[in-house]
Amino acid sequence: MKYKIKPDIAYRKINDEIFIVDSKNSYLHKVDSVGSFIFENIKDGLDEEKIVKELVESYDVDFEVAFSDVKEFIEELIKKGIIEKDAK
Amino acid sequence: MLTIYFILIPNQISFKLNFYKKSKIIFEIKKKFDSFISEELKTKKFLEIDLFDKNLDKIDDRFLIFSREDLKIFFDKKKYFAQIEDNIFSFDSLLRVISSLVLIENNGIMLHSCSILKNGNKAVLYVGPSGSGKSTIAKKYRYVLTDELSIIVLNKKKLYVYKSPFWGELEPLNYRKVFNKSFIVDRIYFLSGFSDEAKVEKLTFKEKVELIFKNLFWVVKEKNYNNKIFDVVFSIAKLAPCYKFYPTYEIQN
Repeated sequence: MKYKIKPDIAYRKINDEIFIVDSKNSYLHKVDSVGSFIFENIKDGLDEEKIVKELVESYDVDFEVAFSDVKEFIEELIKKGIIEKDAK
Repeated sequence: MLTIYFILIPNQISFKLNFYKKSKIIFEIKKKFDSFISEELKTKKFLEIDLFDKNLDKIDDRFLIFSREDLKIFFDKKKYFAQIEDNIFSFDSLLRVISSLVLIENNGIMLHSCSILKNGNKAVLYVGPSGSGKSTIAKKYRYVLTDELSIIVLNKKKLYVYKSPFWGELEPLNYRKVFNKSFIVDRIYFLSGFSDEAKVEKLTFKEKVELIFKNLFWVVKEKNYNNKIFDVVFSIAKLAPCYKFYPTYEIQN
């Protein structure tokens, strides 16, 4: 499954972390380095499976840990209105 | 129709307010905003705002940018329209919302803070939410630009603060010293809670960005503006010396 950043979301990167402005209430979300990695791969158009593989390679973690992290993070981003499913 | 001008930034930005219905609060507006109101245009740039009664004809919802029970604001890329309840509080809110938009377009923000002048013309800001001590601190100084909501503008890599039309407990005094002038921001202190001993802590760039965002007055959600906010906030975080400040319990006395 592919996702995309919603069109009304603004974000910036400082060092390893990404700051996202929530379009609903101007709340600033902070995303740590692993979350930023996942976020940027979503932005680059990778699907969920490929993001998990990239995470395993880059962070040297088990597949199960990476899978769980990616799934949980994507669910959180959807819940906060930051990303949505990419219909393409 | 009655027209008055509201000066947001002296010699730079003002609003042309067109009242299309006889408003009961014109006198209150002139009294409350006194030095910010003019009967004639005094700036090259101005934004037009048409004010209508809240219960009057509908305005095209496509242009709606802000909605609350007592106030709706519309913008058709050329001018603003407002449907507003005829009271001074709704009018104050209207000005705050439109000011926040206009400032962003002009590399500025509104920050929940008091701004005071110390040592000549240097401005110091104490930033924090309601109850953090802003008005308490402001009461200890003579030259106060605001005890609630500061207007900060970036210009040629310098940060300026202006006398603000928005205040909480302390109505801004009309000292000639603060009238129609801009002041360089010397320091920004983020109020972090009272302490037995006064403390000041340095902040990382990331912490500064977070704290500025947390205390920003910003109510219109739209991507282009959000991107611009990032630019302005990042610039402020780079330019302004910022600290966490823990005032002593004594200042409450």
